[in-house]
Amino acid sequence: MKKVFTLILILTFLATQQQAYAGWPMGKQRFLLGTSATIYAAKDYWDIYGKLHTNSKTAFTSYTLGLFGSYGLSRRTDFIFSVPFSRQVSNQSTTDKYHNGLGDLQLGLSYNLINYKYKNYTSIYVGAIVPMYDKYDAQTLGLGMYGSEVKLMNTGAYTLNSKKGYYNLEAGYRQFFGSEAPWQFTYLAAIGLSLDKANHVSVDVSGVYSHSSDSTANSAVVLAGAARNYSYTRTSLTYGHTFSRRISLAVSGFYTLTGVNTGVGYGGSLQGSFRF
Amino acid sequence: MKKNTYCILIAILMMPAFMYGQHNPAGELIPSLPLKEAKVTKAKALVPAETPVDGEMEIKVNASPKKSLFKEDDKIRYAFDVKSTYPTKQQGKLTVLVNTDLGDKVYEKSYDFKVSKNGSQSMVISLPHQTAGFYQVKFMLNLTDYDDTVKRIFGVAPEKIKATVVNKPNDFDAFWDSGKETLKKIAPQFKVTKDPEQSTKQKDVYLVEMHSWGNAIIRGWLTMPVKRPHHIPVKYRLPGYIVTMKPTMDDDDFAVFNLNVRGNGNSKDAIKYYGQYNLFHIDSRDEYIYRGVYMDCIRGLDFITAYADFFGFDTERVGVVGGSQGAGLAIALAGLDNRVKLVTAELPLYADLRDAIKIGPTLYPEKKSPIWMLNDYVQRTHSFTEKKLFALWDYYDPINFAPQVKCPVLLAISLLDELCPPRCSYAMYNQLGSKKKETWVSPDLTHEVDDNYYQFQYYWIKETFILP
Repeated sequence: MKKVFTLILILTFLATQQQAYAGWPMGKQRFLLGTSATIYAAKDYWDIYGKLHTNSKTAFTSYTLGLFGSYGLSRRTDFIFSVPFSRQVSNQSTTDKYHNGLGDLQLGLSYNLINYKYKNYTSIYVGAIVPMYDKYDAQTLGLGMYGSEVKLMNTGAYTLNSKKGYYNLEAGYRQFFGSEAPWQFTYLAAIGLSLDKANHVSVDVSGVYSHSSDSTANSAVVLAGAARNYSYTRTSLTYGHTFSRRISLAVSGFYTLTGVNTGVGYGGSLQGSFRF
Repeated sequence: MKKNTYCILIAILMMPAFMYGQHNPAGELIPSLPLKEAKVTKAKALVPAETPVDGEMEIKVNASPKKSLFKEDDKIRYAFDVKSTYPTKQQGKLTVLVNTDLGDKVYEKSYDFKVSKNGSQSMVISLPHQTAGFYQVKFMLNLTDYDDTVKRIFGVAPEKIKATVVNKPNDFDAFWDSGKETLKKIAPQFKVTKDPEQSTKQKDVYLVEMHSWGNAIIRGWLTMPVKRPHHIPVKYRLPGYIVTMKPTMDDDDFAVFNLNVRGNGNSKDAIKYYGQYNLFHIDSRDEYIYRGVYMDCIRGLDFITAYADFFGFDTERVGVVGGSQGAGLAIALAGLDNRVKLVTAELPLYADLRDAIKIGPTLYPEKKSPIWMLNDYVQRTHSFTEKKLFALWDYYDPINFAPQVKCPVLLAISLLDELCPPRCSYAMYNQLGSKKKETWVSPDLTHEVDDNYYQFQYYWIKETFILP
């Protein structure tokens, strides 16, 4: 069970970054560096059939510090990276287990395919996933597999009653490498609205569908299988404040709406980003 | 979720781009130049038939590529689409005529053309290769009840275009150095007054006054975002021909200084001129009105430098922005003064005047532009010949300042510009000494740039100054 939580934790960290990039090209020679602090908790869970189980004796909490950045290599091409550092607490009956360490490093290139009037951008992201920990069985910080990702993004601006806003749509495919490595579809739809020049709110819905050939019910491998076969949809609400062109801060709360073979996760994150 | 569901999701994601986006095969040079929608001409019958027939023709003429700029070995193609609402069949000729921008015919061909009643007709018209330059193409439609002509301009290898004659006087630099030295001796006596009536919660507006060439008092408006960094980049905006500059209230990222040169806006009383502005003292190189105007532009820079500490101006990020006359002034100023760190110039007036003065009357004989006024003056003043005009304007033509411009330049042109012929703008552009320079082209507009340009310009300035 806890390994399912682990993977979702990492994805949750990645989802917080969309507040900073949201598919907009960075611009040549411009650099964004961001940090985030995320708390994720889950106690209840959906089983492999999607049935909700409450009053579980297992609980899971994690605290993650994330570092992410983007650098504009050209007008169209950005280099993007992210890496989380997590402390995970798994409570099983009366015992607490702790794991600390770096998670999956993600790095890749985003390329702007098309723009429309500099208000709507369609981009493609191609990247790699590199586990920064030794072994899946010894750690619970991720699948422990190298992976690749391709993602399409469409981001645009809109004006509503003289207030400016943005939207961001993403759909991605991940393929991990290794024995019974899963593939995953990810998606995200976000909409944001500026309250004034410094404050904005956004809401998003995102999710993952993860599938692996390893779907055995054998208890010895059920955790590994669970970490590979799951899906969920979650939503988050974010408030952001821009202190200046260089510095902005965002606070998010998220909740898992539905899932299969995954925990009913919820939590919050605080994210700061700095532009250079 | 199943795979095919995700395929549909991806298709939906891409849909806005396919519907509205455009791909820029040119890659980095000019990213995805957004262009105006296809120009549509709607007209009622111009030639009455014996039995009047009422209807409309919708004509679309689009170059491929849409920018209407070709390489010398490119096929020059236009899509010609007609949609008729006439209740009868319309037939006749479509004649395609290509002229140089000086009116010399280089190609003509007629096609049989017919449109069924309430029908449509499309043709792809290929034109022969041309040498570097700009060309006017006329699509002349002569049908049963309808006559119309659609004009377009296309360019070939614009990066190779040179002015027919570049004549930089030998004492050009000495002349302007002398002017700058004289200006230095005039105490600016800057006076900066906050204007509470025009200031807002977001912007502080200041009236700036200073003594300039001939001790004339010129004025401008400085707008400062209330919430700003300690060092703020500066946009220094120069005026079009007798255009009044007012405070800029919609720019949050820059200190914006709008200068009214002598005779413009709130500097109108700085000079008492009579007749046309650009003819004042045209018989004297030293007294010509633009000598003072160019010096006014330098004086404006003096203000930015002098008040850098007070207002927190980032003097390494001073961009000069101008349209039409302002664009010419921006280029001249950047050539005269290296405190200019960036220029965006839209539709530069007076660039390559020797050619512009011929092209304008040829392509747009009805248009009374500032260049037309110069030409008109030559025509009606026996004692002032074209030779004298050029002898004077060689000191003021932006093309002669261009080689001294070393800062990045963004140049915007419109192909149907009646005032600033694209050939002349490119001739000047090709002379720029800047390592980084770039063009923006609006193919279907006259003396204006399309809305998307300003978005691009904003990003371009941010990119060039490496602003967050």
